[in-house]
Formats: sequence, structure tokens, C-alpha cells
Amino acid sequence: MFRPFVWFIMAVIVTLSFIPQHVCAGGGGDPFVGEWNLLTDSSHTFEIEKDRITGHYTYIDGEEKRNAVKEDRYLLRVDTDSGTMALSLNLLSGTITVTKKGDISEFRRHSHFIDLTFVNLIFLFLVGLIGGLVSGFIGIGTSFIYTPCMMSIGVDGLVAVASNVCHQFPRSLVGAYKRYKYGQVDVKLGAILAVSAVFGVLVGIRLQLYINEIWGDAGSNLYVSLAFVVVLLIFGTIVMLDARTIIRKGGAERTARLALALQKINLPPMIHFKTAGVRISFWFTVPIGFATGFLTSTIAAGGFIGIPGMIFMVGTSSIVASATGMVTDFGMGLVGSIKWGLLGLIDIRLTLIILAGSLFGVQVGAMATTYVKDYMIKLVMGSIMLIVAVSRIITIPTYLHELGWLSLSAHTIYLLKSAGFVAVALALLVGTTLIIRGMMKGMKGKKEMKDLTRK
Amino acid sequence: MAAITFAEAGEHATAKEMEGCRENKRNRCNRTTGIKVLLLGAISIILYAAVFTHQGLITDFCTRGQWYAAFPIIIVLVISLIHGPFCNYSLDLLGVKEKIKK
Repeated sequence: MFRPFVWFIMAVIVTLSFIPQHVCAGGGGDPFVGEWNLLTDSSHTFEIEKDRITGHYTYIDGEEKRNAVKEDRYLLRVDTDSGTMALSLNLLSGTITVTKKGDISEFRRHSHFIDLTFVNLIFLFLVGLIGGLVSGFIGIGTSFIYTPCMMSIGVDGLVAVASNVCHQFPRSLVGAYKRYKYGQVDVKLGAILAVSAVFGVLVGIRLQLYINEIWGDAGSNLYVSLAFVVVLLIFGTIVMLDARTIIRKGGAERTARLALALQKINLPPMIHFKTAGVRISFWFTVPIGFATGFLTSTIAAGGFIGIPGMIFMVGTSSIVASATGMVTDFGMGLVGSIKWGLLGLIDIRLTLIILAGSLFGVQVGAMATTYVKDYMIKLVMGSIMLIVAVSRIITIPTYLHELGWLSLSAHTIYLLKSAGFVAVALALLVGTTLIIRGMMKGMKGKKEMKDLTRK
Repeated sequence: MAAITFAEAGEHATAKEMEGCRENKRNRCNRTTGIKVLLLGAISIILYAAVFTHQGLITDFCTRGQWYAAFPIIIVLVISLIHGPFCNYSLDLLGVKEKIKK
């Protein structure tokens, strides 16, 4: 029999082996080398000082200095290590964004990183605390809230994603360990899902690149939003309906019919998941991991499909599913951190501030699961999923406008984007309230029971 | 046998003694947790202060790419290994505890 630790180590080794070779290659394998679209974000002059670069570079269109207009595109060929200049590189969309003129080496190191004020610091700590609380409770990474929050205080989009991912794996590690102590984590299931999720991430990135090539950034944003809406609406509704049925009928959670049907199919290798108390074919677990990874590379919240997948396809309880989701989250977070670390885009200060809050939050969230009934996890998860879906529906017209398929005024776009952000914040607030309320109720009940025993 | 059983049986002295022992044990436990919170909290603060007073240097190392990518990963791991237990013991001291244990 494999011990959980062996499964965990195996999963990490297999996961790491799937990092693209060019990323691991060190000095000779600069991931920036190649042809990229160069996209300016505002109307200004920019130039790249050749002497400061030890290798050489060429613009494909032959121009080295010119006035750039908004969204003007260039092709830049980068041939050297230092020629990468650390212009912000979006691997998902295959673009390099030049945002200012000046010393490229300085730009590389620091211009992406904001100056931290006391207000920013407190804001990030609180965001980490609330995000960690929700994550520890429902087992889903909350990058979908961290990234917009960080961008709202001026952090570059890619730096926000990279810094988030870097805090994800230690937070998930602490959360998973905490819930493992409560006997809620199925490490074997988590390890299988984590490894198959890596394949999903790789395929998801490919699809993102393909979409970006055809429809550009606005097309990518529209695709991401549509994916958000479709996935969250379908799974959010299923989860909410299930929670409603349990609340109405009372009693414990029942194993989903689909899961029971799949458990009866004898397709080797059959695997027994001890903590989950389930015996199911390996081939029915892999698609869940794959879909989780695929969705992670698309909307940065693969757990929205992974957790319901474990509940409705594998047949685990929602407590075990949400706890096991943290193992998958850890695996993907570690791989993501290595990827972004190799590109030098992690702002360690932001990572550490968010981590300071989320390590508190994740432990409170994990503790809260011991006080509430199983259906509460479904209720909280379903509520968050549906509100986040609404937030994405609100922002879809702005992407249609960017694609030229709809005409909107600047004021309307601003209003829609703000409303979308407020809706995401509302989702977190609702989740936090439900968790705290459930926990307080449980603690009160425990205290009353204790007092009764004393009397 | 529990203190409550002795109390029900009318042996109030034994029950009180047992309750007192439990109280002492709880106090000792709280003291140990308090020391752990102080110690881990101090280390946490030192680590955070070290990063933020040398943020230029550390940010520089963390953004060089290639094998330097290990820096941010090691830093977050080390800090979470100290800060994680600190949060755990702090919550424990505040009385926020899980309902059941395995």
C-alpha cells in the first residue's frame, strides 16, 4: 500500500517533469528568445538603446525608433539573454508590452513593481485574509479575486498573476496539512488530480495562444469571460440545487447518481481512495484533473470544476472534495511559481503580504469546516460561483466593444468594469459572511453543550 | 472516571481536585502556546523586516530568472513554515479551535 507521503512525492516529481524544457534550460534557454508581437499601451515615443544590450535585436519591420500609437503592433525578434530586457512578456497571449522609454535594465528589474504605501499594505493583507478564509473553506484557489484587487492598486497584470501564484502553493500546503490532520484529505486522489491537471494547464495555454493569435487580446478576454460564465453557471446551479435539496429534505449528503454509476464500471486500474471511501476507475479521475488544469490556465480557478467533479463524478463528500482540492492547488501553484520565477516576474513583497493574511485566513477557513454541516460548503461554493458568473456577464459587453462588435461609450465601459469588480467583491463578502456565521453558530452550540455538561 | 461522575456521586472534594488539575493543565498548556506564539511571532517579524528593509536587493535576486527562480520559492516556503504555525498557535490562544480532531 502506498503511504500518502509517497504519493505526494511522486506527484511532485511527475509534475515537475512536465515543465517545458526550454524553461528549465538555464542560461542558454532564455524563454524570451523568439518572435513576439510588440504592443504599446499608450501614445508615446519609445526607443530601445542598443548599446545597453549585449546581444543584438532587430525589428522585423526594420524600424528601431518611431512614434507608436495606441495598440500599434510590431514584430520584435529577440536573440539574446539580455536582449530580453524583461519587457513584460505574456506567455499566454504571446505579447511583449513596452510601457516606457528609458534604461531597459532598470525597467526590467523594477518598473513593474509598485511602491508600497501603508494603505496598499493593509489592503493586500485584508484581501489575503478574506481570500485565504474562503479558500480554506471551499478548497478553491481565489486568484480570480487577488489578481483584480492587485491590479486595482496599480500592479502590472503579469506581476499580479505571478505574485499570486507564488503565494498559492504555501497557502495550499498549510491548508491541506491542517485539513489532513482532521482526516479530510485524500492524498492519493489529490496527487492523481494534480498530475493530470498539469496536462490540462499545458493544453489550456496552447488554446489561449491560438485564440490570441486569431482574435488578439480582446478575443482572449472574451473567451476567458465566456468560459467563466458557462462553467460557473452550469456547475454553480448544480451545486446550489444539490445544497437546496439537502437543506429541504434534511439528513446527510448522498452520493451523486452519476458517481454511483461510474463506481460500478470496472475499468482497470481500479483505485481505492481510503479517505474518500470510494473505489473507482483511474480513468474517471483523470478527466477531472485535466479539466481542473485546463480551467486554471483559462480562468485561474480550476477548482470550480475540480471540486464539483470530485463530488458528482468520483462520489466524495463535499468536505473531502474541498480538502483534496487544496492538494491539487498546491501542485499547480508550485509548477506555476517555478514558471513565473524563471521569467523573473514575481514581486516577492506582494507575495509575502498576501501570504501573511492568507495563512491566518486559510486556517480559520479549515477550522470552520469542522463546525458546519456538509451542505454549507456546497452553499458557499454555489453562491460564490453564481455571483462571480454574474460579474463576468456584466463585463462581456466591454470585450465585444474591444472586438468592434458593439459600440459603447468610455463612461459605460468604466461603469461595467467597476460593476464587475464590485460583484466579485460581493461574492467574497457573501462567502465570508456565510463561513463566519456558520462557524459562530457551531462554536456557540459547542459552548452550550459544554455548559450543559458542567451543570 | 470524569470529575462530573465524582460530583454526581457526592465526592465533591475529588471532583474539585480533578477539575483543579485540569485547570492547571490548561494554564500550563496556554503558557506553552503563549511562548510559542511569542517566539514564532518574533521570528516572523524579523524575517518580514529583513525582506522589507532589503527589498531592493531581494527583489533584484528574485527577478533575475533562471536558477534565481528558486529564491522567491525558498523565501515563501521558509516564511510560511514560521508564519503558518504562528497563525495556528495565535488562533489557538484566542480560543479559535477546531471542533473535532481525527
